[in-house]
Amino acid sequence: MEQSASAARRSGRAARLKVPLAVVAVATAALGIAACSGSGSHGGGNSITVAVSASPSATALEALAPAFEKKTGIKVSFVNLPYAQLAAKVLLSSREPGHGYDVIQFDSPMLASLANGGALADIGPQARRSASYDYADIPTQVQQYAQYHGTTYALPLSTEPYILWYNTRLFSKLGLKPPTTWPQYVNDAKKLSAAGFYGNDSGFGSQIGAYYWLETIYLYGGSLFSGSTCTPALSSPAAQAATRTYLSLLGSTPATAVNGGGNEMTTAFTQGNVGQMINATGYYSIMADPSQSKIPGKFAGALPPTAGPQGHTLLFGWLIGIGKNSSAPSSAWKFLQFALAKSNTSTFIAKGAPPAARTSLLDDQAATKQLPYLPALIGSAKIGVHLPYITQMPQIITSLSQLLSQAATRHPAASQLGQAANALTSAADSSLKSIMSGVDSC
Amino acid sequence: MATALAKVTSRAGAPGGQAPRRAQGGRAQRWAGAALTGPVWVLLAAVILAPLVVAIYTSLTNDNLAAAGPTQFVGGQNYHSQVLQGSFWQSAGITVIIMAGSLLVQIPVGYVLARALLHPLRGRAAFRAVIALPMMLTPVAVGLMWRFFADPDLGVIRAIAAGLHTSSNPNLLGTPWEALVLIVVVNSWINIPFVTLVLLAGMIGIEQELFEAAAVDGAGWFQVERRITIPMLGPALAACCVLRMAADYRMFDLVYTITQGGPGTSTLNLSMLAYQQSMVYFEIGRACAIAVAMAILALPAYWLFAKVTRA
Repeated sequence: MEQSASAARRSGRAARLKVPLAVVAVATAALGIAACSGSGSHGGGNSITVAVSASPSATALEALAPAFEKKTGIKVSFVNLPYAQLAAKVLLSSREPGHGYDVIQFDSPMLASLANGGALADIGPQARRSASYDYADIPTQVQQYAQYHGTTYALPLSTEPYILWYNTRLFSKLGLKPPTTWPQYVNDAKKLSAAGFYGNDSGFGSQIGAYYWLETIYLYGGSLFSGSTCTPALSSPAAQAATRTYLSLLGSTPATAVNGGGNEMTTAFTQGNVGQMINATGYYSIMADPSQSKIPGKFAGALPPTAGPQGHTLLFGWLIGIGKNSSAPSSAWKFLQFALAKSNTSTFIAKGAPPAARTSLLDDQAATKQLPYLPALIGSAKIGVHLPYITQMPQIITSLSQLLSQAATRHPAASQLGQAANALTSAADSSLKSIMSGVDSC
Repeated sequence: MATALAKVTSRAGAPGGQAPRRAQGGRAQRWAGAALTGPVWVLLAAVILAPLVVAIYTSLTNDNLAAAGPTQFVGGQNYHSQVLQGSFWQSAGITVIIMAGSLLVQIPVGYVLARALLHPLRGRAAFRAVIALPMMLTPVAVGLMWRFFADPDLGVIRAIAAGLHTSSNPNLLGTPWEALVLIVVVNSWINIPFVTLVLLAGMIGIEQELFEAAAVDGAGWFQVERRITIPMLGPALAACCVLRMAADYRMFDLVYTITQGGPGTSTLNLSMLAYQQSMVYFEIGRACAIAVAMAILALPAYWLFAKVTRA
């Protein structure tokens, strides 16, 4: 009897144990299945995934997708990546075979990192062969800003060089003309400030302010590095003069812009009391939108002032390429060819997206009517250069922006401008040397 | 009685009989315990230990997302360049200032609010709800909201300055110390409700008799706070301080949305520094070195936390 009771107890205990053990086993299996289920591949031949970042260009791509799906039967899915995480997410996804995005929209300063990191495929041969894309219609400088070490890793989705934007109402009120030289620009800034307006609108923020500072240096004929070497050139006479001018304009710049970059500059410009700024053409849609701006119809674009024929403006803009790990590169190219076809330029313009700089746009009366700044865009693209495509560029921009921002917090007086410019450029040169230490290809 | 005692003795110490069976049962229970907690240990290892090991290993490599070549082992090079020579210690100083400043604001204000909420007053429930509101908001949304408030041209602060007919144009985001103070103020605004609720819970737990006895003895307000409330609140206060310090040590969202580390590098705390290395420069090895150094630097705080929570 005792024996059977004990057996019964053991049997009961075993039965009690079996239930939780079964639960544990099921839970573990479920976890395992759940973990494994995330590793499935996507983007087969009949579907592609397009990584975009919120922008009018992305909106235009999304608008074109249904027609592409109808024509080809290839399903297009869009994944919206925040701008600040765009490059990192694309690079991370490209590390896993079969997980890379098929089509990737990215900003031109990201090209070196993405191409060098193995996230992009060479699409030069297809682009040159495509009749509907018409590669020859793209100016050489614009073709080059989609190339890394001579290989075409992307196509220009938008071309957004820095141009001069000015408030036509304020300029007319004060009898000013769009400046073509830097002394004129500075003089206009003084007149605007004296009349109670902001004479300038440049970024000094600690994240991307350096882009606007470098733009001034390039317009003055300076550059980041000496020739095609990696030797810093920010202490050159041209860079020194540009920096002095840039700092001298601090007092006539809205504080919002001083704290930030392009977005903040545009926000300040749209308030209607800023006379002039040098900024990317991509901001046109915001400035022209009555729901976001007080100046629709009261501003215009022109070529930026230069300090001579050696001056260049900086070329920026969205690029779009095919992921190296794409599981459907052929479908991805079909989508690119369809979306970026010369005939679809009007769709981009209609969606408020800055188009890629095609030479043929100059003859397009309808496009010029919709985007009055097109001649300035094409003209700037022709004198445009891009910053060196090196993987160290994000670090360089952040470092220079921090130094610029620090200099701005000191509010140098007019008598100290030369000293402040010297201090800033030599600190920038030192920082560049440190970042580029051991790098010999720029 | 003797029979009962014998039964007890037999069950307690006699060899054979029940004892081996109980030993078997104990082993089975231990196995069952291990089986039941096994998935949790596996999960803990997967979500805590594995990333930690990977981070430590990565910190010893030159892993860069944008690099073409294979990742190489570089030993302590990242620690040398990023922790010993880089801006790590400057950022550590900024982190400490934010932590200390936040504690100095949050604890006293939270204490006063908790004290006020302890007493019956009209609309206490509504008051509690209003006080808890900032805690419910997403830090990113709060950060963006305060960035807009502080905008020197378009923000509320500008409007207030204009309303006061002052000629000054405050640019909190463009002045190093003011930007740092702004971070502390916003951080405090979000977290004072948490401190208030924790201290309020602690105050509710204090026996009312102590206050009554103090009142009978003629103790004044200050003496009651100093001799009764604060000592009795000790564990809650300590836990609150440690939790807030830990959260402020790794604060990222507010700095990212309000100042992005600027102006210059005046609000570039450790988390923002690690973010810059990883997400902006793609230098994963360097970012991991900063993260591991942050964890090591925080070890005394972990020890303190363990001690406080044990108490």
